[in-house]
Amino acid sequence: MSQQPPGGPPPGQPYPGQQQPPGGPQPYPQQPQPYQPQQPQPYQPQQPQQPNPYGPPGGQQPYGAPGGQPPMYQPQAGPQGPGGPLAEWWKRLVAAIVDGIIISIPSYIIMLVLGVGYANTAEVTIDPNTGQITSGGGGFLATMLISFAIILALGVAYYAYMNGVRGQTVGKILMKIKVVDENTGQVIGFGKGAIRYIVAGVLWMLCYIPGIVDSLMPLWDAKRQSIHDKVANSVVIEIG
Amino acid sequence: MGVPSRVIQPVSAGLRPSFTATSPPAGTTISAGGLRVPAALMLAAAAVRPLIQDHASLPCPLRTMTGIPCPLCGMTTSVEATAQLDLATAAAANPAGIVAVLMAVIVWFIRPDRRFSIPMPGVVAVLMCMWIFQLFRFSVI
Repeated sequence: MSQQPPGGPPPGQPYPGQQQPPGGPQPYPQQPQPYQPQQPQPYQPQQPQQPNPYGPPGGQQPYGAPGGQPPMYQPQAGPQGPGGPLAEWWKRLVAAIVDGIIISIPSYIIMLVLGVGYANTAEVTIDPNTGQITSGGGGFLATMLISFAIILALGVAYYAYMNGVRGQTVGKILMKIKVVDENTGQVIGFGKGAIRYIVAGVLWMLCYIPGIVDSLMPLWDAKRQSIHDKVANSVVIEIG
Repeated sequence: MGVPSRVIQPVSAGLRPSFTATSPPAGTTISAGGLRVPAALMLAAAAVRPLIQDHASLPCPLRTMTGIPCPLCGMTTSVEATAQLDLATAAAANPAGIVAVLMAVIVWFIRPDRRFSIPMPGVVAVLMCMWIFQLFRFSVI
């Protein structure tokens, strides 16, 4: 059992077991312990020289500290990212819904202009050679192909620029969250922003299940990253 | 600063469940309890969906647009057939559906705080095998 420092744990640490590695099984001394937390120095402030930018996974520990010490829950006890706390999943969800609406409006207008709106999905088809739009049969495929191409083009432009260059889409500005590089804390740039969007899109195309897993993954990932975050080495943080 | 680097250790290194529930090990892990709800939803859908008249289905976007099936194509058919113990139909559609139903049942008999690491190379290998099966099934290769 590590010793209790005078004055209790410093702020910023949700529980006093911070100095041990994340896997350090403190309360079972009868087990072979490869790393007992016998650190001679007292607990140090977390902020300036914190080598692990993600901090303790305090937000995911409903059972309290293993040492019998009651956990100290603080307003920002969640895992820390570079430049701010990692964004909660529901904020990313709201931002994604807002962005989806923003993208879908111009997509739908373009499809209406082309005459392939979802309202007449069953009737419309397009001759691949002449581009002639006719009614009746095979309309679902044509609608799917065209809407996919439009959404892909608009989506790459919107998400790659907003997420990659600016760090924030409109939805993320509303939710005060930002996409940054998981190591540097800087914006990830246009290329990685595009990759991030395309990966998410491809996952949704594989019978939807990978897309659902990708969307839910920040709920259990240690860095609250989705698959498309991991591919782009990005995290989503809360700002302001 | 004496903070140790993150020690990556195997999940099943003799850890007690009560401990693993408080401090998840490094890497991507998932708890058996966290899988219970998705597993139950899948089994319930497999039981209910065949009862719905003229049930709607979302076609695979990849196969609809390109004709190439994705690794998960056939899973709806397979999971439903497995739930009705029609293993021949299930295996013909996608053998992974039988495994998925088995795991969805087994996960309810595992302590909910037991954590498992997710071996990403293994996941990729399984998906590639599933994809090859589907590519043969739809005569793409």
